[in-house]
Amino acid sequence: MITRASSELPGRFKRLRVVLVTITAALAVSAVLCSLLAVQYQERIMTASRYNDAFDLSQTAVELLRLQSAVQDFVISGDGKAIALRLDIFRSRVTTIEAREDLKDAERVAFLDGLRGLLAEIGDEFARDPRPEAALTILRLMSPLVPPSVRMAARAHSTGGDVVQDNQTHLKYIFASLCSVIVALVLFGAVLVTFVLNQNRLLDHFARLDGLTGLLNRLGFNEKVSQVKDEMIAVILVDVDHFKELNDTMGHEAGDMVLAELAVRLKASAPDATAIARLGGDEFALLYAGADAQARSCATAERILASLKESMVVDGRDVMIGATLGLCMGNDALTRAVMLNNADIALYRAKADGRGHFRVFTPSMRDELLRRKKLMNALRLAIVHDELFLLFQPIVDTTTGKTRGFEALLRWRHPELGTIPPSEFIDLAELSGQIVAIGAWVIDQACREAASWPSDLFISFNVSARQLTDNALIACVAKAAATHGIACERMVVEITESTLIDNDAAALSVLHELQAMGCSIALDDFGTGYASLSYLQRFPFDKLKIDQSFLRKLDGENCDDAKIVRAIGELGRQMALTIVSEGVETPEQLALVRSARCALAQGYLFDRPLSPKAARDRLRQEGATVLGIAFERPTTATGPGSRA
Amino acid sequence: MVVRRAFLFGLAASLGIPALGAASARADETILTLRDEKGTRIAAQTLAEMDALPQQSFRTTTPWHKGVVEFSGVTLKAYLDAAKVSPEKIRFVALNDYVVDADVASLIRGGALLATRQNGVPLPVSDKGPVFVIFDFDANPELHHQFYLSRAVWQLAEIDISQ
Repeated sequence: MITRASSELPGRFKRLRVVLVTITAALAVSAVLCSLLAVQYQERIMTASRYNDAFDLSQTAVELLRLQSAVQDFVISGDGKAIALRLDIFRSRVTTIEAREDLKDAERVAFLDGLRGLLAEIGDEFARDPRPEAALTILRLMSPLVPPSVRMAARAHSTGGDVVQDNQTHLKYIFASLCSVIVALVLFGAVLVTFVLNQNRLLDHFARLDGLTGLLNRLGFNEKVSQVKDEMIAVILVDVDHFKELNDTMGHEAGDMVLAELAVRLKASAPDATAIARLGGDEFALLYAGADAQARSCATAERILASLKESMVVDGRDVMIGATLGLCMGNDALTRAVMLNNADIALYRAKADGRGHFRVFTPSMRDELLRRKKLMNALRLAIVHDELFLLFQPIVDTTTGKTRGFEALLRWRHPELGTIPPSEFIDLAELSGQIVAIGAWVIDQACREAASWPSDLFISFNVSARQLTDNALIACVAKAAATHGIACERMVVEITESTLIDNDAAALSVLHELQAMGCSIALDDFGTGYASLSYLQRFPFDKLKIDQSFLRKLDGENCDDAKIVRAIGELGRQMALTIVSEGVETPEQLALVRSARCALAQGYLFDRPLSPKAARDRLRQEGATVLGIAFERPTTATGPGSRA
Repeated sequence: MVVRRAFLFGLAASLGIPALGAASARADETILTLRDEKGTRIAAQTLAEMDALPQQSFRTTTPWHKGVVEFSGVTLKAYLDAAKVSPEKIRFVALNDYVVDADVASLIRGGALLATRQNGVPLPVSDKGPVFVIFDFDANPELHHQFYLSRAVWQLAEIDISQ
């Protein structure tokens, strides 16, 4: 039992996705953290370089001493010139220190009060007009302020150092954090790069695999082919028969399951293959390399076909599938490049020969294919280029030998390839769809010719399966009748059993319609196909044409073939069908069909297929001559009768 | 250097003697001197002459003032332009013998102002006058750096063009 594949991603990939997102998020956070730390670092550096008042305070001591010195000079020498400037400078200094609101400790406040007291004592008057007594008082007031001013400076100096120390410690921490974040970034980056490289490697791997079967895909297969060092390689192409129909009837999921199971069987059948791949759709390929590649690949092809004899169970149903194989072997680079193409040609040939087996490529297959392609292209223009023409084979009354009608036979003369047998080009016309246009041309041309004959003669033409299901056939017949002024009653539409097999219902309605218009319906090649006699009941036939094979091996009155011919003659009589015997070439055959009560016959005994002019000549000749029972074999006949 | 000191003291004396305590300098007194590399005086300005140069002002806080203060005066750039010199390096010399060397381009980039007025009032020596090199600290946080703080020279008396 094949199980359905889940459309969910495997858990491993989900986890990978989570890891990927987490790492990316961590990277983003690290980056933000890094920026924040950098900003903090910068701010810290800024703060570290901010103003520190150690210098200011030491200057206070200096300026106090210089003022003291100026006053002392005055006391000693009576020169008070310098006092005003020193006092102004000192005042400026005190104002500056007072502005420092952040320095509030008691020692400082007391010191500042002392300075303010000193300035108040000195007053403005002293600077303008210094007096010795006032100078002594001032000097006395100044002396106790000198030691604290120096101490203040010293303290400020050490405090400044502490701030620097503090800042440095802080900076160290910030820098350490910054470093760790950068290391983390680098690590995360490395993890990501590793991950991406790994993913790439995986992707590279998966790009060469087929998701459904786990086999290689076309890319992977071609790579293997190019990697093989051995000279001799062989390629097997496997194509599932009627896979499209399987998909249509059971659904695409079931189709996929069949392909998966087929992959399993291929692997089991070809354990020694160098590569097994699904090239796409329902097409698989196997590669063999080495000296015995040829033999091993053929053996594998046999095993693959044998493995498919056992049914598959899909969705609880037994399914039989068949496959057709094409093989190609080669030992040079040139062959290798077209290996798959050649295998495909062999596969095509195997299919054309009826599926379910394998064919090994030979160069003639390619030539054949090319010829078919060439013919198919040429056929498109055959009507326009006037390469098609009709021959008319007389159908005579077995009793009187008189011509009762003609079967129109299509011929194609290709300008380069010469006369193409109908067996070859009718098939191509069916495939390419050209048959509809060609069929219409045949009906028109046949009716045109028939118009020149006596009006009691019928014209018989062949209609293919494709035409029979085409609605245009009715219109085509009607148009030909109208254009050439011949009654539909003169027309005989010939169909083969195989035409009916595939198009039962559609064909039936068209045949009824044709009959309603007045046409007769003839069943061609009677007795050779698969159809049962029930066809005679279901379809409205007017005539049966006994296949010429029954006459060909005729050997005496009582041989089996003779009995069959007589039985068909009796069948026709019983069912009121006109029996036409094909391929009458000898008087003995004629005697037989006459005794079998076949009313009509055609064959080389009467005439080969004739050109329109020759057909008319024959009729003209008949008008003067009433033929006897025995007929002379026409001298122009060169071979067995043939028909399209 | 002895000459320089002697001069400074002379200048200080000329400012000091007539000065009435915190009162501003007299209108005819030289408050700022510009000297070339050889110590030769190139220019000297009184307050009035400083006022005659292009004026600029801004309001900012400083580490040495309570609250926001408005400074006005001539920018260093305008001052040097007026003197028709464009030195690379200069030295600021203050009355209290504070001396600092500086790169002119950096000072100009920092918008150095030779302030002569604080809140519209001429600066006395007793309050960082007569000239105060000041920067608009509030406008640009980068100026809160020892580089600029140490070049915010008060009681500026002389600018010497360095070699």
